[in-house]
Formats: sequence, structure tokens, C-alpha cells
Amino acid sequence: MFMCKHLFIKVLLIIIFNFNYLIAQQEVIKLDYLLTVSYTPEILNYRNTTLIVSDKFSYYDVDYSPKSKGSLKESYDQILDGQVDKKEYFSEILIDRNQLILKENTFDRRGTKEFLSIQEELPKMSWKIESEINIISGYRCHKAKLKFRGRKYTAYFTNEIPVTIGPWKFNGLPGVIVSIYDETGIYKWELKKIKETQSINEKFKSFNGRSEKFKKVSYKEFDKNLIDAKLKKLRVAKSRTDSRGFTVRHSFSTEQWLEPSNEFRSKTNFSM
Amino acid sequence: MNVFYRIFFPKNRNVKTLTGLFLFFTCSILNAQISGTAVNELQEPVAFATVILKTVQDSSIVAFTQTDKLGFYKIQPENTGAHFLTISSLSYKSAPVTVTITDIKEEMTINVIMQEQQLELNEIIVNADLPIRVKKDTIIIDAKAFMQGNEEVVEDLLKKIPGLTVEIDGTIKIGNQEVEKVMIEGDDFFEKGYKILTKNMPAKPLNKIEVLQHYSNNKLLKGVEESDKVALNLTLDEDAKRQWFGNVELGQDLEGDSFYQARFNLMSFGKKNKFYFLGNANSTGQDATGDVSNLINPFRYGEPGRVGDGEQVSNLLSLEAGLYNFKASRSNFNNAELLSLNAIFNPSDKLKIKTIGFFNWDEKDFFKNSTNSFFANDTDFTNTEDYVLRNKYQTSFGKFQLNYDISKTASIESITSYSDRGNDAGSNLQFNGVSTLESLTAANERLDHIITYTNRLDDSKVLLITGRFIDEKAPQRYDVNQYFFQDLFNTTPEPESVFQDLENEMTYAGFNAHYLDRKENGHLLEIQIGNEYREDRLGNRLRFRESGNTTEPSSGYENNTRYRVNDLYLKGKYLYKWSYLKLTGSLDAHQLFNSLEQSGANNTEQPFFINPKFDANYKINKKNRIGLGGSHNTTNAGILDVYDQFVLTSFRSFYKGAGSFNQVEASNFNFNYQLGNWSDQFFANFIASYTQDHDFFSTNSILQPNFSQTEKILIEDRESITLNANMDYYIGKISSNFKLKGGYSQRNFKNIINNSNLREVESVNYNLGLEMRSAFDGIFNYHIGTTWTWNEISASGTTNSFVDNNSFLDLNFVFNEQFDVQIKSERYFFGNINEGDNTYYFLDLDARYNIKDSPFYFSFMARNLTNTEQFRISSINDVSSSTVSYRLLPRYLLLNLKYRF
Repeated sequence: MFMCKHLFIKVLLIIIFNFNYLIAQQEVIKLDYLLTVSYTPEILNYRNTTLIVSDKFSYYDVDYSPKSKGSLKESYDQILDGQVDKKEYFSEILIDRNQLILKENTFDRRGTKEFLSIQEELPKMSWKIESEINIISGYRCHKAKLKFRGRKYTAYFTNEIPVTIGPWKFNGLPGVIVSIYDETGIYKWELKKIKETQSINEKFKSFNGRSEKFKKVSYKEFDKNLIDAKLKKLRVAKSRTDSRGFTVRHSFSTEQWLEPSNEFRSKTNFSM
Repeated sequence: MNVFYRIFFPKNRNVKTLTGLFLFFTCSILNAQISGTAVNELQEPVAFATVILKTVQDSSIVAFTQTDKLGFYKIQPENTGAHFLTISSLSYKSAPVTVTITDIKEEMTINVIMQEQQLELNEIIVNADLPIRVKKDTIIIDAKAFMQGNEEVVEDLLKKIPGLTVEIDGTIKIGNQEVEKVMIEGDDFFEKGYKILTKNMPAKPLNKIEVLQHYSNNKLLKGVEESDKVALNLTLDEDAKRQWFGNVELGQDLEGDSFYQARFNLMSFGKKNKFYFLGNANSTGQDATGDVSNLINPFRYGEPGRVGDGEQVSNLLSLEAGLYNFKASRSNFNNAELLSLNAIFNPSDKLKIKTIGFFNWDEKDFFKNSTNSFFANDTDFTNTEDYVLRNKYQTSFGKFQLNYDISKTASIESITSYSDRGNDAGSNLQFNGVSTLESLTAANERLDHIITYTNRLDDSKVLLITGRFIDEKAPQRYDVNQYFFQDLFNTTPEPESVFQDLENEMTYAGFNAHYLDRKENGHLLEIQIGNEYREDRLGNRLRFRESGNTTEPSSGYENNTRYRVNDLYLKGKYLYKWSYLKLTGSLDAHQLFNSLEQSGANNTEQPFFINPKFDANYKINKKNRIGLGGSHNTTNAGILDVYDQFVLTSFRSFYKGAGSFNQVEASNFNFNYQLGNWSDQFFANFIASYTQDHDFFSTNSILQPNFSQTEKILIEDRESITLNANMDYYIGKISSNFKLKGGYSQRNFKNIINNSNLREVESVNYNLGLEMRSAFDGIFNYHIGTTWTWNEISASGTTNSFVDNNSFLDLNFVFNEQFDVQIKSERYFFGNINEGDNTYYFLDLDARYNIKDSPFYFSFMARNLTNTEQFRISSINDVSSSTVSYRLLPRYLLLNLKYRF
């Protein structure tokens, strides 16, 4: 009994010690990625994203403030109209590699229009490393391919920086992703800057603070709610058609979304 | 591909499942792996460290993994030979170990002790620009990459392109926006009617699909002109053989032979030359020229460099009739035929020639009975007409278009069109029981030539110079075998019949220079300077026949007018744009030189005026939008306002203009407000408009049972107000939308009837509509609605009012992608007609069946299933109330077969 208790305390101490060690003293680096999103070819939306990474955690966020360099401002009002509210693009991701958990705090701009804290198991990514090697900014970069949630990605990564990390949800490559883009050309991340930084502590705390305030959902629930909300919009549109003809068909496609499909849903085109 | 990956990616489509299984077995037998633990100098595990196995030979990565929480890893090599095993982690020095694998079956244990090391990482700026596929404003898609071999027509291929949506009716959308046109190698016949192309052209010869954003019809205007259009351009393989393709459609009446429809589309698109032939014949009330309206008159309204649009001869007399606020096809007894031949030639890269031609024959019969009761100023009488009308039309149209690129920044476009239309109309009329025959022979000949020179001065500035010449002649000969004007002319002996020759001609010449300057902040400056000249010649000769002699009426019934207007103008327009606010202001200055020759006199005047206009649109926030606009307009009188002698305009009426120069002034204000967005659960909008005519053309009429005689007079002050509101609410529980529509309009004006004083006429209309429409997921959907309209008109102390109601119920069954059925029913109620005669029902049915993967398409069309033979409507104005009953096309059942080749 005593032994058990002793062991318990010891374990607890180790955990606490380790936790502090993790948060306070470990090496932390900061990587800036430029995310280019191009839904329609004429408009390149630039978003600055930041990745702060320690051995056990990584924190990724998208700068959605108007200061974020967006070419939207230069384009004409037609497209601007629906997209000026940058808050809608709020997204931050915390990966806990110890627990293999990925949490995203985001605004569900497409569906429920709510702030959400979405939790999922850290997605396993089946990378395929190819023989091609490119030198990018002095780094030897390997080419790798990935199919993930309805997109085919090509990445260039280097193992000259001793950390396994990439922007957004990308994980599992033996190195740092220097550039990654999807086959359709809609999404592309490029590493712009790497530097050492103090700690991940503050980000960790503020992330959890927001996470507490937002509605908590699993990734599966989030996807279901989103599709349901989109389908409702489709019904509204269908039931609102003025003309008495019945040939009007309303549809939406998830093909331009960052995650067009997933483990729970393979359908990408919806119509009624 | 190495073994490791095959094992772990068995889902990869390229690897057959069988191979995967086989490899899995062999590997598990081999069971080769390197495993071990990574610890630090304190023997504590190093968790989540990166483990990479590379060949020494070329440093290629053979396998990789991460250590687990306890620092343990295992990794599987692929081949024998010398390898580096590298374990790295942020706070440690990376530790490469050389591993020589001699036997692939051998298991190896490699434990690594890692030394702590602070990461020395200075700020690094990475430049990782990789080529992106995106080109400004144009996305180029390789058609071949999306072809899977089962695409038959272009539409099938477009469905597979991400970002492009093809709806079930063939509408093509990019995002939420419909494409403006679908071109082949930059050439286009169809404009918005592109479905004829995309549903018939084989997909095979396609090479590239280009999505053109901010599309401008004139390519030199791109980026300067305000445009949110999207277009598609399809390019063909270099060696693509020109193929003929198209469809034929035949419809046969199941009960008899009186109804039919037939149509064919035949086309061929080569890289240089393109041809499109079309034929259409029907007796189902459809206007055959609807198929070619895009070819004749592409929609270019409001585009820069246009001048003279809308200049045409207006007829004073016509025997055309139809049910305009009702489905015109229900009362149109027709027999239409159309043949159209079109081609585009590209003799060189710089030169494009487009020729368009069609011939149209049409025969339209129309039947109505009407009762008009006049009540104005104590002159009460009722006229009845029993009317049978037959119109025959023959139209030939030819258009020749030439586009030449002088250089990269300059181009010239010349379009010449010629049309010749003949119309023979004959009516058999019982007017108050008197048998009357009318005949009208009319012709219209029009030559229109427009030439535009465009010069892109720089990135943001364009100059367009346009010249246009139009010549149009529309002579008419009108004959009536009765004479109803004895009370008017009091001639002895009384003539037996009447005829009139009418000359109506116009010549127009316009010149316009248009300068556009797109500012860096998106603002747009436009300046136009130009001169337009129009000359109208209007003449009529009215004659009476009496015992073989021809006599003339007394003076006042013979025009010989020549009206010339020269308009020298300068127009300026500026568009301001801020993020939520859009402001447009414009000023148009006109110096006119008018000259009017008629009745032996020749008058001239030189009025000058300025027309200002402004528009503001403000988006308050996501849910609220507001718009405000105002204008003051001075309009110069046209030929129909200035002629000074009466013209016979029907078997019993005369009409004449005001006889002098005039400019009428009007001010308008409008306001609109929108709450929510169209796809929100709740959505509402409100529009208000107020117009004040400071002066306007009204009428001074003599109304008698046998004739009416009206002249235009200029009156001051007229007002009209229009309000419209719409509200939509989606009820989730029943998956249906509820719509409420309301409208109000009020207008007043003054006129003179039978030598009265100026009398005030006021008309008020309200309408209220309700609608419900479902969005069920299953086979069945409904749409139901009703609208009440209140009409009230007051003049000279008399007020008349009545209420009409229209309702409909539509049922829709979509069984699957191949088969659907629609049933439409309507009910009309007229409050101004006696009970028993005031309610009408209609029932129509459509069914479509498309055999899967087959070129055949069947449809079934049933019209007027209730077999309602006549339809009575009533209307009311300030002098009369009238009831008209129209004869309708009887019930028919048409079976249609469409074949694509």
C-alpha cells in the first residue's frame, strides 16, 4: 500500500516535473509560412501563418487581421463583397504529440457561423517520399507526396532542422516542410522565416482559454453540422426560387475546401 | 517504389491488392527491422525524436519514423548495404550512426545516447517560390487530364473540372456565377444560349479549357471596363478533325395532326472555320426567332463605345395582337418556320469574319371578342368587336462582322446588318354587328452599319471611337372596307371604304469618342464626346372610295413631315469606390439643333440642357444594404410627338402629335433597402421610386361610338409613386419557404375628353401575394401561390375599382436523373366580370425521359388539359372598361423525340 502510494507520488512528480520542463525549458522555434489560397484564379489570397513548435507541442495560427497581406483589397468589389470580414478566417491549431490530439479553434464561416473548438485524434498521414531532391534556400529538400482528406499534396521538406513539423495539420514527415501545395493549386504554404523563440507557454495558455469559451465538438460532429447547415442553405435557396419552372437545381461542392472529404464522409458534391 | 511504402499504403490504387497482400506476407516472413531506444545522458528517454534511415550511397530516405514516449523506435530497411541512421530532436545534437545491413532478414538493435545541445538557429529567411499554375485572370485547365473516356459531350467533361458546376438544365457556373458564354477558339455564336453547344459538341477534340475572369466582349477593355463576367474558352487539338454534330428533335400530336414541332442544330467547329446551322418549325405558339435572338442582337447594352442603340422607326399602325400579360403561346395559333446559316472564318490571326443569316416565315392567327364600355364625360356607349386576325410574316436577315487587330493595343470592328421584313395582315371583324375587313401590307427594310476603333492607351486607359449609320424604311398600306367617319367628316355621298398610305423613314448617323480611365484605387473616369444626327420623314395619304371614285378628306389628315435633330454632346461620369460605399455621378450636356418642316413651315430651335444623375450604394454591414439614386432628365421630342396632322391608326381611330418642338423634363428619386442575404432564413427588401414629370405629353381626345380622334398635348406636372416589398422566411420544420409580396403604385395625370376641361385622372394599384415552395429531399416537391390585385381609377368624379386574383399550384416529381414529371395548374379570377364567366382553370403536364448513356431523349408535353377554349380578361382605364375574350389553343398532347448525333 505504501509502495503504491509512493509510486503514485513519484509518477505524479515526474509528470509535473516533465510538464514544466516541457512548457518552460524546452527548445522552441518559430516558423513563418505564407499561405496562398486561390479559389478563383484571378485572386491570390495571402495569409501569414505562424507555427511555434517544441518537441511535444506545436501551435499554428493564421493571421486574419486586416494587416495580413491580402490581394483581395486590390481586386474589385464583386469578390470583395463576400470576403472582407477577416475574422471569418480565424483558425489556430494545437497539436499535443504526447496525447496524439489535435485541437482547432476556428470560426465555422461556411456552416454554423459559430466559434468552435474542434478536437480530433492527430491524423495519421501516409507520406510517400520520392527520390527527387531540391535545394531550396540552401536546404536539401526531399520531395514527398500525400493524400489527405480529399487533396493530393506535394511537399518539399528538409531534415537539416531536427524537428518533425509542418504547417496546419501536416505531421509525420521526418523534417521541416519548406513548401507544400495541393494538386489543384488552391492551397499552398511556403516557409518564409525560421527563428528561435522563447516559449510556447503563452500561446498554449491563450489557446486553452479560447478553447474553453468556444463550443466544443469532435471533428466528426463539426463536419456533420457543417454539411447539415450547408444543406439547409440549399433548401432555403431551392424553396425560394421565384420562377415556376422546376428545372432549377441547387448544389454545392466541397471541392474547394481545404478538407473536401474525410474519414467520415466521402461525398463532395451535394445537390437537390 | 520501395517495399516499405507498398506495405503501408495498400490503398494506393496503383498497387493491386493482390500484390500488396503478397508483399505483406513476404515481409512478415522477413520481419527485418532495426529497433532501439533513444535516451539522453541521464538515461531518460528522448520522445518524439525523428528517426531517418538513409542510404550512404545517395542519401535517399529509405524509411523514417518517430520515437515513442519511451524513446523506442523501430524502422524497416528495404535493401542491404550501408545506411545512415539519424535520430534528431530539437534539444539534442543529431546522432548519425552507420548501419550496414548484410542480411535483410536480420534484426538489429541500435540504442542511441543523445547529447543535449542548445539549438543554434539564427533567423533564416527562406525563399521557396515554386511555380504556381495560376495566371492572372485566366485559369488554363488541361482537358485531357480530366478525360476518363466516358465523356460524350462537352458538358460531361466540364462536370469533372473542380470549381465548375453544370446544373441539371445545363447552366454552367463558376463558383456561384453563371458563365457569360462558352467560346470555341475565341469564337462564339451562342452567347448566353451556350447550352446548344455544350450539350451537343463532342468532348473528344478539346485540348484546353480556359476560364476567363472579368471578361470583356472587347478584349482591349479588359481591366478598365467595370466587369464581373466570367466566360469559358475551349481550345481544340491541333490535329482535331472537323466534325459535324448536333441534334434533331421531332414532336408529334398524339390526338390529331394539328400540332407539331421540329428543330435541328447542326454545327462544326474547326480551329479556323466554324459553322452553325439551325432550323425550327412549330405550330405550338412558339416564336421561332427566339432561337436566334442572341445571334441577331447580342446583348451589348451599356457597354463602352456604343452609340445609336435603340434608334428605330416606330410604327403608328399595326394589326398585331396578343395576350401579353398571359402566356402568349396559349392564344398564338401559329405556323412558324426558321432556317439560319452562320459561319465564322479566321483567315489570319488578326482577322476574323463572322456571317449570320436567317430566313423566317410565320403565320399567326388570333381570335378575340371584346366589349368596350365608354363612360367618359357623359358620353356613354358600348362597342362590340368580334375579331379574327391572320398575320403573315417573312423576314430575311443578314449580318457581316469583321474584326481586325491592327496591333496588340488597337483593333477595329465593323458590323453591317441588313434586314427585310414583310407583313401581310388581314382581319375579319364584326364591329357592332357591321362586317368589316381590314388589310395591312407593311414592310420594313433596315441597314445598320457600326464601326468601332479601340485603342488601349496604357494599362488603365482606353479610347474608343465609334461611327454608326442606320437607314430604315417602313412603308404601310392600310385598307378598310367600311367607312365609320360619317359623323366626323359629314361627306355626301357617304364613302364606302377607306385606305391610307403611310411613309415612315429614318436616317441616323452617329459619332462617339469614349475615353475610360481606371484609377489605381479602382475609381473609373469616363468621358464621351459625340454627335448624333437623326432625320425622320413621316407622310400619310388618307383616301376614301365612293362608287369607284377616290376622294380626299378635309384638310388636317395628311402629313408631310421632315424632322431633323442634331445632338452634340459631352458626357462625364465618375465612379468612386470605397470598401463599403460605391458612388456614381454623371453629367450629360446636350446642345441640340432641331429643325421641323411640315405644313409648309420650316422651324428651327437650338435648345441646350444638362442631365445630372447620381447613384449611391452603401453596405452598412453584413445584413443591411441601402441604395439611393436621383436624376433629372430632359428629353427631346421624337417624331411621334411632333407631327401635326391626323394619321389613321385603326379602322376607327386617328392620332396626331403635338405639332411643335418640345423638351420634357422629369426628375426621379429611388431608394432601396435590403435586409439579410438571399440565402438567409429571413430575407427582405424594399424598393421605392418617385417620378415627377415637370411636363409630359398627354392627350386631347374626341371619343364617339364610331371613331376616336386623339392629339398629343403638353401638360405640366404629373407624379407617380411605386413601392414594392418582399419578404421570405424559410420554415425548417416543413422544409418550405414562405414568401410575402406587396406592392403599391399611384399615378396621376391630366387629359381632355370630348372637349372637357383638363380633367384629373388618378389610378391606384395594390397587390398582395403569398407563396409557399418546398425543398424536400425526396421525389416530390410543390409550389403554391396566390396574388390579389386591386385596381382603382378615378376621373371626373367617377371611381371604378375591382379585384383580380391569380393562383397556381405546381407539383414536381423527380424520380431520378433520367425521369421527371411536372404538373402545373392555374386559376384566374376576374372581379370585373359577371359570375359564371369570371373563373378559369388551366392544367399542363410535362414529362421527360432521358435514356442513360444514349443519344435519345423523350419528352411528353400536354397543354390545356382542361380544354379551356376561351379566356376572358377585363381591364379598365379612365374612359372605358373592357372585357375581351380570347380563343385559346385547345388541348393537345405532344410526344417529342430528340436525337443527338
